[in-house]
Amino acid sequence: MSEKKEKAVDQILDLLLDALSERHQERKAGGSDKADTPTSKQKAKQKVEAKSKKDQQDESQATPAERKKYANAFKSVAPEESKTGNTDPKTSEAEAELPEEVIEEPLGDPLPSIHMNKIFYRLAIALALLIVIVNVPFNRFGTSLARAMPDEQALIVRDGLVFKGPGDKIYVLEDNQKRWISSLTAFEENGYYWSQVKEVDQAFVNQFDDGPALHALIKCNTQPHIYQLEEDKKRWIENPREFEKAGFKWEEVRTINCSRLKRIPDGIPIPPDAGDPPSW
Amino acid sequence: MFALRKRASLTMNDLAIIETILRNRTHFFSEIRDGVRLSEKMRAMLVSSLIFFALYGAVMGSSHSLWQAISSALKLPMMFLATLFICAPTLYFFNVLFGSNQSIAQNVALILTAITVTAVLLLSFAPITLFFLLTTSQYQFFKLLNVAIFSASGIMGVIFLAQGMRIVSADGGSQGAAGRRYVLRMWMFLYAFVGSQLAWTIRPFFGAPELEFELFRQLGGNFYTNIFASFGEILGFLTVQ
Repeated sequence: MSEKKEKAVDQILDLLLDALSERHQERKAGGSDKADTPTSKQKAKQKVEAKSKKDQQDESQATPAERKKYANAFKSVAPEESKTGNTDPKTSEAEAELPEEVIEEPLGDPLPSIHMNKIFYRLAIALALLIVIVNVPFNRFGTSLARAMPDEQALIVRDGLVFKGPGDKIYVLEDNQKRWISSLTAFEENGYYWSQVKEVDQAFVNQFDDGPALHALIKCNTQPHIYQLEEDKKRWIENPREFEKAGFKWEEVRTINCSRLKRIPDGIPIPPDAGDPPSW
Repeated sequence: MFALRKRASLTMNDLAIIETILRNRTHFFSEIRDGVRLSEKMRAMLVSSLIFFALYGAVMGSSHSLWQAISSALKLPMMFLATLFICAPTLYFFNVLFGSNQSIAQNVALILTAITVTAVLLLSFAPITLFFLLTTSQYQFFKLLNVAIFSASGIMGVIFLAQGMRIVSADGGSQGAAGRRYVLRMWMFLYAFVGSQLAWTIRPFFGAPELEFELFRQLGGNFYTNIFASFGEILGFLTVQ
C-alpha cells in the first residue's frame, strides 16, 4: 500500500519538476513577467493533474537515491504550492511516510556573522578583570570583596571576640591584639562564657600580634601578698613596683578565702629571680 | 607586542567558532559529517572552552581565597577534558558496533561541541554566580546554585551533542540507527556519572569557608550524598559537619 503511494508521489514530483523546468525555460525565453502569469501556473497545474492520473497506473521503478533527490526537490517546491493553495492530501500523506533519513532539512545559506567572537572576547576580559577586583584584599586581614560577606556561622572579627586555636590557650581580641586569658578564674572574672569561644585555625591565631595577657590577680584577707593566677598556679608578685610594671591595676585584685589561696600551687614568682614565695 | 597581538587575534578567531555552533549549527554539523577542517574546529573549540571554563572556575574559587580561585581555574578545564578523554572511546566503539561510519575524530569533535556549548553557557552564568558570591554567604547555597548551573549547562550541551549525532550520522543509513540513539542516551548518563565522580575526586572547587586552602581534599563520601546533605542543611533538617 505504502509502496504504491510512494510511487505515486514520485510520479507527481517528476511532473512537478518537469513543470518547473518548463517554467524556467519560459522565463529565460520570454522574461519573468510572462512566466509568472496565472495562465502559465494553471496550465502547469492542469498538465500535472492530467499526467498524474494517467501515470498512476504505471509501475515505474525509482532508485532510493532518485527518491531522495525528488523528496528534496518536493520539499523546496512545497512552500510554493501552499501559497497557491495547491495542497494535495495524498502528497502530504506520502511525505509523512518517508523515512527519517530522507527528510533532511535543506542547508540553505549560513546566517551572516554578528561578530559574537568580539562579544565573547570582551565578556571574557571583563570577567577576568572582575575576578581580579573581587580578589584584591582591602584590609590587613586579607578580606576581599568576594569574601566580605560573613557566613552565618563565620567569625565577625571585632574587639571582644573570644577564640581558641588548635592548642589550649584561649584569647580575647582587643585593639587588633590577641590577649591570652591565663586562667579559668580570669576567664570567669572577665565575664566570658564557654559558648562564646570560637574555634579557629592556627593561621587565624597567628595573624594577630600578642597583647598583654589577661590574668586574674588574687590575695586573701589576712595576707598582704598579691598573686597572679596563671595556668592554675599562683605567681607571687614581689613588690608594688613589679605590679605596676606589669601594667596591673589595683582595683583588679580580687580577694578570696585564704585556705583556698593556700591550696593553689606556687608557680615562678614575678620577677623570676625574686626568690622563694613567702610562706604563711 | 606583535606576538601578543597575534595571539589575541588567534584567540579571537578561535572564539568565532562559537557563533558558528550557536547560529549555524546545521552547517557546522554537516561540516563535521563531511570532515571539513576537523582539526581546526577541534582546536578552536578546545581553546574557547578552556578559556571559559578557567574563567568560571576562577569565579567559583573566589568564594574561598585567591589560591582557590587559581586552583579552580586550572581544575575545571582539566575536569571536563579528562571526562572527554575517558568517555570518548566508549561512544566511538559502541557507535561503530551499531553501524556508524564516523571516525573517532568526528566523535571527539561532536563531544567537544557539547563541551564548548556547556562552557559558553557557564560563562553566560558567570555574572550571576559572581553576583551571588558578593551578596550571599551561605556555602551550601552557593554550592547548590553551582550544581544547578552546571546541570542546566551540561544538559544543553548534551542536547547539542544529540542534535549533532543525528545530523552527522544521517549518511550512515538506517541500519542500527535506533541502536545508536539508545547508545547515545546511555552514554549521556555515563558522561554525567563520570563527570560528577571526577569532580568529587579533584575537589574542592569552592573551598569550605572554615578550612584552609587545599589543592585536593581527602577522598570520602560521594557527590550525591554531599548534595543531599547540602539540601538538608538549607532546608533545615540536617546539619553538615
